[in-house]
Amino acid sequence: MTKSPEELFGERCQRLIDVRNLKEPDYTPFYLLAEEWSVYYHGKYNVGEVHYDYTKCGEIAEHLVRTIPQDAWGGPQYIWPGPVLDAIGSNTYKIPGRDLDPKLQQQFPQDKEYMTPEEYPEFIDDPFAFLVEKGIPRRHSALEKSPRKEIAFAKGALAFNEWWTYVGSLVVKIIQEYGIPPVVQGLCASSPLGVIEDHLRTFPGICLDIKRYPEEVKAACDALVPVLVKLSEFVYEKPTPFPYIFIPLHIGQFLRPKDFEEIYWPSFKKLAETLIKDGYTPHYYAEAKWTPYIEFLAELPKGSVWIFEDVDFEKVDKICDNLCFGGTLTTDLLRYGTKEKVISEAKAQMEKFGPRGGFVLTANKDLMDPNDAKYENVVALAKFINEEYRR
Amino acid sequence: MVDKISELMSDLEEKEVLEEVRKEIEKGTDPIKILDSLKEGMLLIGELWKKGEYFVPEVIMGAEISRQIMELLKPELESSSTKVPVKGSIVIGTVRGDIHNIGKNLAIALIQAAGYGVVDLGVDVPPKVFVEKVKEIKPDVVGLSGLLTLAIESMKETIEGFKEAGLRDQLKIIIGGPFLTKNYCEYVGADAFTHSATEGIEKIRGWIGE
Repeated sequence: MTKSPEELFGERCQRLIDVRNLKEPDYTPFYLLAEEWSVYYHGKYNVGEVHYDYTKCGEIAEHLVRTIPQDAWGGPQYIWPGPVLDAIGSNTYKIPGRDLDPKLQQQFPQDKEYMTPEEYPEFIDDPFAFLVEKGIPRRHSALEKSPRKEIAFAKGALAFNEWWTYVGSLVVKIIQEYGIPPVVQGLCASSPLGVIEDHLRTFPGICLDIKRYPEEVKAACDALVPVLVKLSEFVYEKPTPFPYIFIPLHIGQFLRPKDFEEIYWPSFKKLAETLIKDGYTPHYYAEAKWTPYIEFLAELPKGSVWIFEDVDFEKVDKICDNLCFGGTLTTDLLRYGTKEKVISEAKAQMEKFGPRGGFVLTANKDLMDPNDAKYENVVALAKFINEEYRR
Repeated sequence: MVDKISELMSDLEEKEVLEEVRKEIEKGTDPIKILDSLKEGMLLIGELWKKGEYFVPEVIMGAEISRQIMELLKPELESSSTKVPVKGSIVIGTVRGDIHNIGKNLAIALIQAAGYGVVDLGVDVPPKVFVEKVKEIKPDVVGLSGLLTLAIESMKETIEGFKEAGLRDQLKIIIGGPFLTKNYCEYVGADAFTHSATEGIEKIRGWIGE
């Protein structure tokens, strides 16, 4: 008997709550964060068109979940809506169709600094005021001066509200018709150091700061924690263990362990502990190589999900009985493996790590480019999981 | 040759090393000799990176110190009668569509330290620009950089461009990016791939020689 979307939705949510709580679920959850990849896979529009006419995401999302049924889907996270960014004069995000070839994916090159190193004391003193009065206006040309600022802000807020209402209705539709929840309920900026890097200092800038002004950098991270907690509470209102909160990480894992420990980790840990204590589930996307930092992760309280791009999974399994992990399906396998090979590896991974409880079957990257995964491999894997493995 | 400048440089003692360079310039030391110490220091940083003692921020700091030393040396080198010897040439750029430059710039700092001449084509470089530049300067090696997987198709098109122009056989091609694997390397048709600039340098050394 086929199950109703409602039943499927209930089962899927339970699975994702179970693994978060490190309890072995009925079946290992399977999902992919299929971002721009889903646009190419759908095949009708280019990414640039979708950034500006985001109502096309619905068609793309339905095509994805209909042909590749999963326990959760990534939501239209790959869209940085053109109308919103244009309204506030965003200078930092490069959007296909506006700044880039419309066939390409959005990019965030960090080619300009929006805070000088001399401004650390001011930032540390009141990070929220600094962001509102300086950081954000510098990154958005329309928000720099009154009265244009107020108008741009109102336009941006309206455009954002339209976008967010659209996303909300799409999420509901996918739940009602397919029984598939979103993996994440939105985005929490990043780690404290990551926010300063991304939004104010750039990657090379923060690297130099760590060498030149380590104390200021550390103090700035510590000062930012309460702001990020407030932001999460504001964005997510009621804490729920699932959907998770998406937190991409892209600076800590480039630091030498000594700097990781002294500068990056204290504020990271504080933010993680607070979010988990409040009842949220941080869903970290840990890009690049993480093996040198596994011992640190063991210090976190239970209740976070980690998707690793490149890590010694055996070691994570052994040392970190506090966290749920995924990322064992490499894009190299998904792109170059045969269907049979993809299925046999996925099965072996589910058998190996499934019983630990905290394990999700997913790729080691957000899928963006067609070269991240061959369509037929992903379709075959989903078919195997839904129609054979779970029978 | 490990001297004070290269040692201070590899220890990332920014202020001290700049002070030392200023002193040497005032003393009238041959700028080429100072440049050699600078390169040696950068290579030591690369070695420490390879050993896992240094990570990316230390290499970025090293590249920043190099940049500052080069600024101090520039007038000296320009008025010097001896030319800086260059051991071979490398054309490098981030491929079309990808606008990231951090990995490429780190690679350039280390390649220059190893004594090779570098032509940097920047980011979002179309295949035909690579082809034209290679025709013009006939480098030994081409380095194609990318941060995002969208770079894969561009790397492939660029290498196909070299083939069509009849240039492929005279070139060694290395691709650099965090996502690369042997399979992707074969797919785009490069001779080697790397995730780190120090590893890349070794490949280049093997091809061009010391």
